[in-house]
Amino acid sequence: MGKRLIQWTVWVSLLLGALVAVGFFSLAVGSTGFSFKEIFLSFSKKGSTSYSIIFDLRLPRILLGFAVGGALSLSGVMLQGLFLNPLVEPYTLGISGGAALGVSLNIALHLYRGSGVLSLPISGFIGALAVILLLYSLSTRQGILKMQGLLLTGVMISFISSSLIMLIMAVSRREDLHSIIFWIMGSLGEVSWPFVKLIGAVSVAGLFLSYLFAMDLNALSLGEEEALHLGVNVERSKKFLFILASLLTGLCVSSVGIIGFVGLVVPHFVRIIMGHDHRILLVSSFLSGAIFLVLCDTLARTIISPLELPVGVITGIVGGLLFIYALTKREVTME
Amino acid sequence: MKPMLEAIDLTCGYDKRFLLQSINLSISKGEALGIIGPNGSGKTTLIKALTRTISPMKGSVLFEGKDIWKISLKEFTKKVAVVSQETHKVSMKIQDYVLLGRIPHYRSFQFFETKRDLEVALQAMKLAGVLHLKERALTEVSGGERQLALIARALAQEPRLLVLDEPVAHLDIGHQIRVLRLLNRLKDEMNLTVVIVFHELNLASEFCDRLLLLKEGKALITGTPQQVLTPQILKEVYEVEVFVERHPLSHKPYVLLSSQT
Repeated sequence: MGKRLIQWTVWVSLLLGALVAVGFFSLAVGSTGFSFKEIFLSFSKKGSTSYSIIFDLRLPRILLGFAVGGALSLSGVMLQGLFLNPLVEPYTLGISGGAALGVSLNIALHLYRGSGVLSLPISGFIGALAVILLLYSLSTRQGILKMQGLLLTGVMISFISSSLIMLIMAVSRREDLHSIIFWIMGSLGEVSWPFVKLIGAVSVAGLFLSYLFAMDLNALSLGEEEALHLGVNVERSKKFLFILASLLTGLCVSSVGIIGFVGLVVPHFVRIIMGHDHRILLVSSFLSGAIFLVLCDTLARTIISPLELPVGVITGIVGGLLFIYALTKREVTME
Repeated sequence: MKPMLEAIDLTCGYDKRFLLQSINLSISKGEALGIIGPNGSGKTTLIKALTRTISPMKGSVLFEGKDIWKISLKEFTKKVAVVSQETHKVSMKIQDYVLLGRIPHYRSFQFFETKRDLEVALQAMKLAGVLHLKERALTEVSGGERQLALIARALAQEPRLLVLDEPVAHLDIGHQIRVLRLLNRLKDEMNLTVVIVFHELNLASEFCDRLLLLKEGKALITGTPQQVLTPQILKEVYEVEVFVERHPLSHKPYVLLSSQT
C-alpha cells in the first residue's frame, strides 16, 4: 500500500501542478496578453482595465472551464465504470438531449423574455431532470435498475430529442434558430461569478461524493453479481452513481451547452495510464478533464482572435484525433 | 452439532417460473457437498439461492442457524465466499484482484487496504499457488491460473464456507487436479466447508463427501457418492445407460460412458 499511495500522491500533485499552470497560462494569453508579472501586479489594481479583463472575464471563465471539464470527465468515468463499457459518456444517455430540448423550446417559444438570465439554464436543467426521471422509471423493474435497458433507452431518448430539436429548428424564426445553434454548440464565454461559484461548488461536491463509491466501482468492474458477492450493496451504488453522474451532466449541459468529448476521451486516457483502480481514476479524471477543457477553451478563443471558435469544435477535433491515436497505439480493453 | 448451511423447503425462480422446488439440504462444518445434475436442472440457481443472490419464494436458507436474509450483506460476505462461473476479462493485476476480496472487511470510509489486508491477500495467493503471478494481469494468465486466482480472491475473504460453480470446467486435467487438491487442502487443513457444482460426475465422486442430485429443479437424492452414482439413478436422470466401476485408489464410484448403442 505504501508504495502505491506515494505513486498516487505524486500523480495527483503533478496533475494539480498542471492545473495551476494551465490556469495561469490561460489567464495570460488572449486578445490582450499579460506577462505573469502583470497578472500579479493587477491583483492590487482594482478598477483598472487589466484587473477587469483578468477578474471579470478570464478568471471566471477558466474556473467555469475547470468545473465543467472536471464534472463531465468525472461523470464519464463513473458511467464507464457502471456500464463496463468504454464508449459510454455523459451524453450517451440522452440527458444532454433533454437539456438541449428544454433550452430550444424556451428559445423558440420566447419564454426567456422577462424571466432573467437564468431562464435558459433552468429550462435546460428541467429538460435534463425530465430525462433522468424518465430513464430511471423506465429502467427500474422490481426495484432493480437494469443497466442494459437503461443504456438502450438512453440512446433512444437521445435520438428522439435530437429529432425534436430539429423539428423546433425547422419551424422557428431565423434569429431564434441562430440562438439555438449557438447554445447547442456550447461556450464557456457567458459567465457571471455567482454562476461560476455554484457550478464549481457542485462539481467539487460531486467529486467528494463519488469517493464514497470508489471501492464499489472497483468491485462493480467484475460485474454486478461478483460485486454482490463482495458485500457491495449493488442496487444502492448503481442508483446513486447513475443519479450523481446524470445530475452533474445535466448541470454542465444546461449551463454551458453541449461541449462534447471531454467525458469520453479524458476518462479513457486516464484509464490507460492509471489502470483500473477508481480510487485514483476518479480524481485523476476530474483534474485531467478540467485541464483538457481549459486548454481547449484557451485555444478556441485565441486561435483566430479576436473571433472565437466554439470550444466544442476544438474538444471534438483534438479529442477525436487523440482517441484514434490511442486506439492505433494500443488495444483499449475495458471488459 | 448445528449444521453450517441449511435449506428448508427452498423454492425459488425468476419471474414466477419455479426453477427450484422444495429443496431440503443440510451441510455440516468441514464437509464437501457436490451439486450435480443435467443442464438446466437448477444447479446454478441453487447456488445463487444459497449465497443470497436470489431470494427464495418459499422456504428459507439458514447459515449457522440464522436466516441469510436477516444477516447483513457485509456480515454474510465475511463468512461466505463465492467463486462463480463467469471468467473476468478485467486486465487488473492479480494482486489487486485478490485484494478486492478484502472489501467485506473494509470499515466504512476506509479507502486503503491495511497491512493485514495485504498479508491476508498474499497468504491467499501463496496458498492457491499464484503468488509468483501477483504482478501479472488477470487477462494475461492461462485459464487454469485464472481459476486459481479466483479462488485466491475468495480465500482473501477469509470465509468459513466456500461456494464454487463449476470451478474445473474448461480446464485441462493438470489444472483440474491442482484446483481439487487445493480445495482438499483447504478442507483438511483449514476445516473449510465447501459447496461445489460439478458437471463431471467422476470428479464430483472423487472430491465430495456427499452429493446432491438435481433433476428438473427437485432434489432427487442426497447421499454419499456410492448411494447417488448408481446406473439406475443416472439412467433416470440423464436418460443414458452408464456403467459404474470403482476407482482403483479411492474406491469411489467411477462412471463410464459408451458411445455404442
